[in-house]
Amino acid sequence: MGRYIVKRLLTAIVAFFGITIITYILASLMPGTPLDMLVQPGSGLSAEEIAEIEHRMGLDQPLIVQYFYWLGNMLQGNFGTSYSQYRPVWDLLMDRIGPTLLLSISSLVIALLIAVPLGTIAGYKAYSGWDYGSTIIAFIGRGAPTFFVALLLIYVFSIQLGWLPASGMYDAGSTGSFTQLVAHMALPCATMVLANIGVFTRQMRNSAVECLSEDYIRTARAKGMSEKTVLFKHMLRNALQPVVTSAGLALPSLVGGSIVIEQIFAWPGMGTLMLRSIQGRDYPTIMGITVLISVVVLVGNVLLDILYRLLDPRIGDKA
Amino acid sequence: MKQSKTIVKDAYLRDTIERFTRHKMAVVGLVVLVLEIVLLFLLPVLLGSKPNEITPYFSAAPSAEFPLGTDTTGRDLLARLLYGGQTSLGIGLLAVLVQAIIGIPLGIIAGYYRGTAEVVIMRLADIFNSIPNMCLNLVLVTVFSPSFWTIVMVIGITGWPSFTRLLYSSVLSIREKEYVEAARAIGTKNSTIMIQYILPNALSPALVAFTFGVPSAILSESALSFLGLGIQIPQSTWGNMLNAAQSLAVVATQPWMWIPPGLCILITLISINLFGDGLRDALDPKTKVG
Amino acid sequence: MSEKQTVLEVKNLTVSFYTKAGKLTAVNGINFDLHAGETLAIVGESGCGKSVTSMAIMRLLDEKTSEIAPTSSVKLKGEELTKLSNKEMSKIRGNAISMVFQDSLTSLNPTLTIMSQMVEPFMRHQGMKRKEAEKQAVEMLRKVGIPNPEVRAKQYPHELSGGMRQRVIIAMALSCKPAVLICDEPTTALDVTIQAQVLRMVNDLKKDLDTAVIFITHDMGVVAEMADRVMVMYGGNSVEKGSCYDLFTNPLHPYTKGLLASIPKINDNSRLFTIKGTVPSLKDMLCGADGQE
Repeated sequence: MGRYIVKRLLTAIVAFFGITIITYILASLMPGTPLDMLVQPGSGLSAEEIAEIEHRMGLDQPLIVQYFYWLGNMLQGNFGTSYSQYRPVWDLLMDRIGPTLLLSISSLVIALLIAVPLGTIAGYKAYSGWDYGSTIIAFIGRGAPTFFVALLLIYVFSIQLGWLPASGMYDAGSTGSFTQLVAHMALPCATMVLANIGVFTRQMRNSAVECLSEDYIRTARAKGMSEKTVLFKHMLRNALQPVVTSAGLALPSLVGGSIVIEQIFAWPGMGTLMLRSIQGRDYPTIMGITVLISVVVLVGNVLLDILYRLLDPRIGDKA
Repeated sequence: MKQSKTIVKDAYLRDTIERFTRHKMAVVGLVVLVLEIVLLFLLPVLLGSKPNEITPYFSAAPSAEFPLGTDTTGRDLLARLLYGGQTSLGIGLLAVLVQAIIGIPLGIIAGYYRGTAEVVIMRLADIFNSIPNMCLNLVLVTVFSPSFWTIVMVIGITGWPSFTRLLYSSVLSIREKEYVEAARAIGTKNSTIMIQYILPNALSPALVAFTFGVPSAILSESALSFLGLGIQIPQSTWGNMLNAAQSLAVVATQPWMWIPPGLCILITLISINLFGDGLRDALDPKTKVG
Repeated sequence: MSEKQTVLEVKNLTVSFYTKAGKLTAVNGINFDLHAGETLAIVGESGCGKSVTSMAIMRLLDEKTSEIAPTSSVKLKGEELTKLSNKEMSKIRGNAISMVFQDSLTSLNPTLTIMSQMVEPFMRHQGMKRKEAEKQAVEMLRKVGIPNPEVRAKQYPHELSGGMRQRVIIAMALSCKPAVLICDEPTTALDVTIQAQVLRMVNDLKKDLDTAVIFITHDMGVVAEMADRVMVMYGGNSVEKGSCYDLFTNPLHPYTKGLLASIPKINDNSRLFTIKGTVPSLKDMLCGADGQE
């Protein structure tokens, strides 16, 4: 297991460098140079002064040197300064990552907490009302655009019923309490849960059906185990494995989808920061967010892979 | 010889169609899809819709003249919905085509040659997969200012890894088949083997990946347009029609502006997914992909 | 023979499956008795209904797709099993009657240690605490001849050899000293030498615990070694019953003759005898052909 974790971390580090390279290439393609942002036209600076600034920022170096310069800084936590907010990008990111992680992780956990029992029941009672019900939910979940679901939820629960707030993390001007946070989180969280629950339920259902036809389930029944034991001790652990895999695959779209959801609900996370930075052509912030979001996805995938190994002793051995 | 080949082909096709039609929901999906496409292209002609014409009626509720009402600048929303649908579907299809053109050869090369090509291509696919597509799309539209073709290219460039992965795993098993070994044994060129022996046998998974790629491409486009970073007004798509609903006032008081395009996306995605499920089971009853 | 107590009485056992082609009868009115300490072999080709018979006795068939006819009766020490609720039946399975299956790798749960699977019957049926059950489990593993049972118990199924896994399964089935043990081709997947060891072990344990054994197989060699009595099945029907000796010396039914003739003999250079035709499909048997034409 220890060796596996080291190996897995090494591949994650390779992927991390790949991500930084792609991000850097994209950023260098962006119209305008960092210089244009700092040196406004008509600033009265002479050509030598501009060249001096260029030199100090390393902008006269070849692209590859600049990349390592940027990477080196970033690894020390220096993501540059935001063009639009004149603050270190790192500080901005640290302000925003908490709310994003809170929203994404709780949505993922809630989606799994609903999907696993629902899928298990659907698989256990295959071709019953439960099964068809979960199939329909899964199909709608797969087809529903998150932003449309979000708007519908706002329309029903905020506007028509007036039960839940439609934006922000706390009520405006308040210091913020836990109950307020929960109320504000309810709708964005529900949107993300609805977007992911379908796939997970379907996956769980299929793998439950498959597991239940396995010989070891028959053995457990032949031993006289109660159906509860058969389901929770013998089936669940085996059936969870594909669900863990699909949770890992869903991670990028979950985090990516949170950009749109944050925007709709004015959630003060990295998604809203990203969109604001794009509108303001704030390249250092855009790059910082892209790298950080990808790192979150990478770390999540490593953790899920380790969980997968823990679930299946057979693979743990070979690694 | 030639005749027997066609008979086999016909039988395969017939079996496939039979397996597909057994999936009732898949047939429903196909029918809805065909109906939708016919309506999207026929209705504008019949109604003489003018999606960009500005009428004096701003934000008008649905009426006899404007069955779906008008938007904030007074444009006929039904006309915009129909033309927007053409754009959304068009972008969806073309973007997946770009994904396939990039992803299929890479998948075949990685699976056929193994070794360095495999490591490089599959690692690259992994890296692309760990940057959320939405994030990459956003950065790319910042680099290339958004238009129909740039959106197609952007979604095409960010979505190729799903094709590569799928093709890669099916090529891994195809390359071990006897007919491929036989072709290699008689000294057939690698490029010929890949095009004539491997590609045709990997076509089923590619077709399934294509079908499932369309809804996610449509979703990407509409998300971008919804955020105002995709297709720009006056050209309409379902996504940018929903952009109006970024204002809570519109959500609250003018539901005709955002519910119809939202429903259209929902119906389209569900029917393509249903169709895709049926297609997958019909083409290859054994494997379950996606 | 009759001085021994009758532990299992199967009368008119009929099992049908619901399929797209209609309701098909897989087992058609089987009758037999089983006495304590006795071994009954049920032989026949694959698809003749021998496994379905055992699954029906255990009530392990899927109730959504199959049906045990209401006229059937299975009595275990006088208690009618076919009428029990699932919950009541689960208290009998693994306790008074247990079963050993063919494939030892897939029959054990790959994600649980041997120990956590071994303790289950003790805890479920004898109300033991985990600690006590673990002690019993190790004892049981030792009894079926597993070396270092304390170490082995902590391992996962894939870390054991096929023969050892099959011993574990047999140990598990015998944990609660069942009155009846059903072995469904328990040695088919094993090497011949391991097979002999496992068979000898089953025989020893049987004598030890005075358990009645139903041995399902298609291997006449195994039958000769293990069985007191034999029932031959063909196409869902029992075509011949008798003591092992009678059956081998004087088979009556043509199918039994064919079955015996198909055993390869060492000093015989003639061609291997094959039974003509294939096992009739259930669909063809709706009006009872039983191989006697």
